[in-house]
Amino acid sequence: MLYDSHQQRLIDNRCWLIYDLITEKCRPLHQFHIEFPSLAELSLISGYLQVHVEISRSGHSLYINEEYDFVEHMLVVKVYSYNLLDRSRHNIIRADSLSHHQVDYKGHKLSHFPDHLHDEKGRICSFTGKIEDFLERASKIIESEVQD
Amino acid sequence: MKMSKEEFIREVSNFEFSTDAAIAKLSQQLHEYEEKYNLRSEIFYKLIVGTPAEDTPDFISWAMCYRSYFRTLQSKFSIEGITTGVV
Repeated sequence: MLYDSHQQRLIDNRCWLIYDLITEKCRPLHQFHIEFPSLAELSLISGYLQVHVEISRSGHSLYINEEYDFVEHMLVVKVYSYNLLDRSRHNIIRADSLSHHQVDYKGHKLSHFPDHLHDEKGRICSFTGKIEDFLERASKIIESEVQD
Repeated sequence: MKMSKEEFIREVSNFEFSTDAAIAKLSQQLHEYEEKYNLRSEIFYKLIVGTPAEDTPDFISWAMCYRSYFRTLQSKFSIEGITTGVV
């Protein structure tokens, strides 16, 4: 096994946080509850969590990818990519931690470099790097489009 | 519908995903990317990763999958080395 029991517990906790956030904010299809534990288990072996979530009613979907590392007994999300797609599978917003952008679309330094978000217009915006902030923004977009 | 944290942890620990199954799954995903882009993963990694061209959803996932594949493969062989007495 790649990780010791302490590291596995940290990955478990991270997966639980993601499961909890997605179920609270995005109303996933029932299948998500069945499939997610096996995805979490794969991440315990590989250090890589990849989740595809179909959102009920709206037809939107989320792609969550996180690659983990450990620094001094702490879990670190080494690289991530969060994507919200519409029913035609086109990206609406996405966030990642690649260091290819230094400034936002207005020319201001990114507040949490290298974390950034590609907004609905494809523009680079500052982003905290927190999945809860991404899901908050995604859930608002989903809600607004369902109401329309 | 939604599991409690205790149920969730229990569900995860009930699965018996082997290292071999994880390697097979990651390998299958790499193969799908290779088919889609008509490019071998090692070439993709050398040419694209670390450049601005990487900044697309598929390429970010592909790079993560590639690193994870080798990390998992490495862990399998280090475990086999221990169990067979190979240093």
